[in-house]
Amino acid sequence: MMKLETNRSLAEELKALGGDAYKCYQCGTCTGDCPVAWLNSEFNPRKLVLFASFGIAEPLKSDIPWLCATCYKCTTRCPRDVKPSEVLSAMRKLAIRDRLAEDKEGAKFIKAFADIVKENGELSETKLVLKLKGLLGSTKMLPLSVAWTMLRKGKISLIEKKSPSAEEVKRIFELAGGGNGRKA
Amino acid sequence: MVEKLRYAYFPGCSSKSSSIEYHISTKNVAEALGIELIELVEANCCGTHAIEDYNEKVWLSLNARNLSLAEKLGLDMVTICSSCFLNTKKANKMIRESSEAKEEANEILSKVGKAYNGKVEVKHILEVFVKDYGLSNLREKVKRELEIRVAPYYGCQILRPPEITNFDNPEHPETFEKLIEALNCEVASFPEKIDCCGAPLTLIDQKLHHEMVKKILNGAKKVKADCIATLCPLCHYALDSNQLVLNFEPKIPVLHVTQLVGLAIGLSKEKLALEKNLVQPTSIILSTSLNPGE
Repeated sequence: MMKLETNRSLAEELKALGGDAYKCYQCGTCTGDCPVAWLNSEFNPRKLVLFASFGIAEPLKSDIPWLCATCYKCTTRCPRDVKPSEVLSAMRKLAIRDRLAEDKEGAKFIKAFADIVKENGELSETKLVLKLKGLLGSTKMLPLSVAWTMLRKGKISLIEKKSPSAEEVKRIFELAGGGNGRKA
Repeated sequence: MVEKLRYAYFPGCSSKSSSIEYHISTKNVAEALGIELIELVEANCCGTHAIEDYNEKVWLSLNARNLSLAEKLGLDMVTICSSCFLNTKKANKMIRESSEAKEEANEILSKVGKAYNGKVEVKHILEVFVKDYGLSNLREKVKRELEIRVAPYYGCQILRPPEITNFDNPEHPETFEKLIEALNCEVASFPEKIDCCGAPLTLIDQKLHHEMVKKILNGAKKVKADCIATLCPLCHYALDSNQLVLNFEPKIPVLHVTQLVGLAIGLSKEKLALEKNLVQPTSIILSTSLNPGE
């Protein structure tokens, strides 16, 4: 079995970013009620909270924290008010700040999402899909017949359009910095 | 005579593209009910958890900017997207409860010529129908006998976390059921109504997302619903489009809450943009021509 390094300052850093893993008594309510854990046993919020409380860095470099669907069921039902969804959000925030997961689908998704909003003021769903998956990948996600129907019904738009908010939004991004305050 | 209801209307990004029929039906239903919606055309994306994870300060400022637009009009904000609802409410709560957050947001807003003082209430369109307009007023407007069993799907972000959404009992919500009953439809309640469709995972793990969608569709199928009704453009897209992608049979039409209200109060299929739904609510559309409602 792989030996895992614990790190008190990482645990503190995660706590400062959201949730409170220290309060957890490992009852597993979060995992038992998680719609993602029902389908993917690799995704185990109870274990992730335990790792967070010891400051174990492994999950931050993995795909796992990005599989949270942010449905907040765990946070609503946790008897210790740990807010597991916030603990996972803290892991993602740190992974973004320290560029620990840049090759992971979840991190790429967030980066692409932010880039489009920064540019357009609002999200263009079509642009997001094309940016992340490319043309070929997009057709694998959405059969051409469905994509064509959506285009015909005006649900997909290939015309680039900016929101009237675009300029101010770009300024907001520049003022607040890049990923978690890192220089943009 | 009740005072006319007026709101600053924030449709959000998805309701203007993949769920365009939600935006169209909202405007027409509001007009038919005499609710005035002033669209915030200068609004920006709420950022959702994606930008909250990316940079919390950006996320807070984006939401404060939208709220400042409503505050300038002196109106409360209504949203039709559960994700916009949660994110705007969360930022609003932070600004109202923490002077530090308020200062941080306003410092950035001041540089784009805006300010937000925390005076706006954020509401979901379902709350407007049920609480502000009122079910007894709505009952009086019902003109069409729909005779359908409707499965109310809440999804996540309108319910949870409850200390932010402050919407209904997060485990046993009933607001949607009350609306469906007021519209003279039958409620087909199903346990999956508060489960997540996994929409945020569409581009991260599509297989997982599909499994989550199937659980919800199968739940609605089990209670023999004629249609599912949704409160969020992302939930709608997930449940509607994936029936085509996954060849789910038999198809269950998915209606936006505003399309359901519009049908009951006698609006035409054009005003509700029903032809834009991917799973065509054929029998329901047929009933609109057989039973015009007026």
